[in-house]
Amino acid sequence: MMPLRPEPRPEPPRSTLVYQPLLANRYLASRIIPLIAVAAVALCVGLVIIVVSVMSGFLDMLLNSGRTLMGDVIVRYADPGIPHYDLLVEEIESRPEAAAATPVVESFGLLKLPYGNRTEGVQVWGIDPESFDRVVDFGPSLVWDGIPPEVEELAKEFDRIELPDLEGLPQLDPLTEGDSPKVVLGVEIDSATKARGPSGDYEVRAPAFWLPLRDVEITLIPISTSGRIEKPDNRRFSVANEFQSGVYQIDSRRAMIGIETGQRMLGLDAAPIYDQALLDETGELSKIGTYPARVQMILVRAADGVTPEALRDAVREAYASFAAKIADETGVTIRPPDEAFVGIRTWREQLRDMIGPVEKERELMRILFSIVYLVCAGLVLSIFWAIVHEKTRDIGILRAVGASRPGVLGVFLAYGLVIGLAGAVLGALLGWVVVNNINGIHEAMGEPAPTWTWVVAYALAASMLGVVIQAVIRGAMLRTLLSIVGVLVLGGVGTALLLHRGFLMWDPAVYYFNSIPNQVDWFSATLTMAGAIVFSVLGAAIPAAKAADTDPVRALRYE
Amino acid sequence: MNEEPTIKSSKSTPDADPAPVVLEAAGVRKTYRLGRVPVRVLEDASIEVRRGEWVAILGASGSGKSTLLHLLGGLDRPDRGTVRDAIRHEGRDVSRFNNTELNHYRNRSVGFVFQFYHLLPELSVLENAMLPCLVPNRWIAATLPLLAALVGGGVGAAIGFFAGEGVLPDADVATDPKMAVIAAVFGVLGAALGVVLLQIGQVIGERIRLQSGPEAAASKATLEEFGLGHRLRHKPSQLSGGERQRTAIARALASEPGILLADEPTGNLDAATGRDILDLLKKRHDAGLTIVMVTHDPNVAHYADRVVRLEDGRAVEATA
Repeated sequence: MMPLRPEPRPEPPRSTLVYQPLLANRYLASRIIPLIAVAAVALCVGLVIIVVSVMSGFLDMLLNSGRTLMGDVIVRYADPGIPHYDLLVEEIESRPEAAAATPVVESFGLLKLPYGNRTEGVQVWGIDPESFDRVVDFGPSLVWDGIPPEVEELAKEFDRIELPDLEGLPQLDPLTEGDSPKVVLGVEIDSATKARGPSGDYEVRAPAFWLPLRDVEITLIPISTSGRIEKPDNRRFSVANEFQSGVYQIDSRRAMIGIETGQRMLGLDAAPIYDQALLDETGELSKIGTYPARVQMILVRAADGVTPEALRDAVREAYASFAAKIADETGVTIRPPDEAFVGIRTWREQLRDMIGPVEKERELMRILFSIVYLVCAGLVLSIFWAIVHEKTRDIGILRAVGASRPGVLGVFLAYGLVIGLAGAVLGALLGWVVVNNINGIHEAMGEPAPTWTWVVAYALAASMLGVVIQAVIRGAMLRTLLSIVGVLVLGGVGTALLLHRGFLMWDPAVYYFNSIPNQVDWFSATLTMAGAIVFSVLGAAIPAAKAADTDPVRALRYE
Repeated sequence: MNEEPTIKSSKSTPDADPAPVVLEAAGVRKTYRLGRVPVRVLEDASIEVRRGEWVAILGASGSGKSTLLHLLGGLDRPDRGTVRDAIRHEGRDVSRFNNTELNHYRNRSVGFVFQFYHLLPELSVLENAMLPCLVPNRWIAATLPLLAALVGGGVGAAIGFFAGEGVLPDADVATDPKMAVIAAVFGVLGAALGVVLLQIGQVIGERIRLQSGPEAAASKATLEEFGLGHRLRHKPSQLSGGERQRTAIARALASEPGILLADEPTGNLDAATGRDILDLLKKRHDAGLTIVMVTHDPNVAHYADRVVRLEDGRAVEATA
């Protein structure tokens, strides 16, 4: 055997060109499969974003509206209520954890609307608008900040109509004797004279019955300190405004009146105490003291950065020291109830029966969506598997001309990355558009489909039928099959549109909220996008890695 | 078997020092598994290739001639025996190369031509012919995307961090695990965007050089010589079989290898086209190209200086 004589050849100059971007670009540009993959990724991302956004928006809305209406912590003691509450409010507000506190009286009552002899059972809150606004942002929840155009037109026709002043917070208690008290009604109580437009704003349908122009009657039943029902008190209220909390059950059930009016009607106002046995000089029962005014609730708002739980503990302390102070004062006959009987709860504890099921639903949704996530990931993986499998021979060729395994993998990493990124961005866009317009879409679904839609669908189905006949005559199997599927789908869509009488999935009378949450949950959205990219890259890389590991000879035989 | 074959070089200098051996396989054995059945294709096969000669490996189908060629080309490793390369690797054993050396060997030492052309269908004729020049730049292929991913990921994570402060206003930014998730998620998005932007930049940047760079010029010259000057932008599917094989030969010659390994280069072509291909190879051979060609057809083998027969997994010198 001849000895090998080394004879090194000169190395040709090295190029700085690489094949990875070129090939990835060509793979992406030359087939329809990448478009299908992008569409699949986009649909998965969009689907997840839409449902997660709506579901978590639902919970957030519930939680936020709970906070708006209740403050962070509620001090509650039912009839006969908490006496000396102004001192308690002072005591609470002196704590650094509390930003503001407001007293509220509460009772059930009957509301008579100005039309149709309608009487509704309502929950009546007596509030002090200014401090109430500081605690629960009452101002922003007021619906009318100006006279609606429909009412203005009416006012032009009938100059006797006195337009109400809707600026700022309404003054609910009468300032002078004989002035009529005012009420702010939940916006859904009067559902007959107005309707919510597609934008979510209220439009007045019957301007003559627009409530701020009218009076309502409210009947409250006072309960004596000994717990007996006393003579019902009935008064006329002019409607100052309407409020919308966003929670249907509250908006359709609650009326806000002035705290003093409320106390007077419910017998919670300050009253003299007489000694039944003693008569004074004039022969009347002798007055031995004053029964102080009372409220059943004090709502407290937490200072910035204070959790409701920390505030609750601070309020408990405040209540204890308030009770101790009153006890030390001499001459006070009516003492606040013992701390043990007073409910001091965070809004979360207060709304537990409402929040609990939704929290459970969120957990359920998380479990279901991790399954949907896995299904989407599997879908992306299998699409890429098919695509890359087809390229096994190409990988063999590249390996035969000296491409390294990581180098070949790079082509498919780039390929999966582009598809993943494009799909994620398109999916996010799809999710954003749908979520933003979800109330419009929902309302459109509530109406019967316009005639032209099913006419067009049937017309397309009919023309597709022509294609079927043509394909059958020619004997083209694929065309026949596809056009039959087309006829069935278009016909089905047309029939569905024809039969569609409109239904509201999200009936405000059934759900807490009167609109579907339409805020994209960007945290979940970006997480989903990143997940889609990672799965696309993995999906492309795993079969490519398998192909790159196969020795070139076997990969080349692959047809 | 291991007796030294007498070398008849075509260089018509039988009495002078024979040309040096540039590639040799010695005592190679290769067994394949067909399902559970082991099939021994090569048993102690040896072959020497000298500089400038054209060797034909002749054998019936299944005789292992393609396998021997794959072993010589570094596409496969023998179970036993050695394949030594003196073109660039100073006589070292190719079958013991690490992955990097093996890739370099496939890319630079040998050029492979297959019976079924094996062109990349998505690339043009010119790009296919240039392919070996685009392969060896590991620094650019790996480091640039990695840098882009790092930069994009860093920028994304920073944006995520600041966005996170907006999303979680009362969260303790430094300790909230959600911040880490947000930063990581934005990092992934940023890295993806960085790499994709780099890819787009590279595709645009390479476009011109793939048409008119120095690598393109060399491949263009080869393709023009092979009569494909008017076909540069066409896809392989638009070419005839002969044109495809000429493109494949141009590709095999792109990195100026020391030796051309051809596996039934005319096996898929009609007789006239096959002759064209062989004439083309002959022209290159006359210019000094070393060729090892596998064929089952004695008429094709006739073009070679020397024919080696494969029988029972052993190489037998056929013509003197």
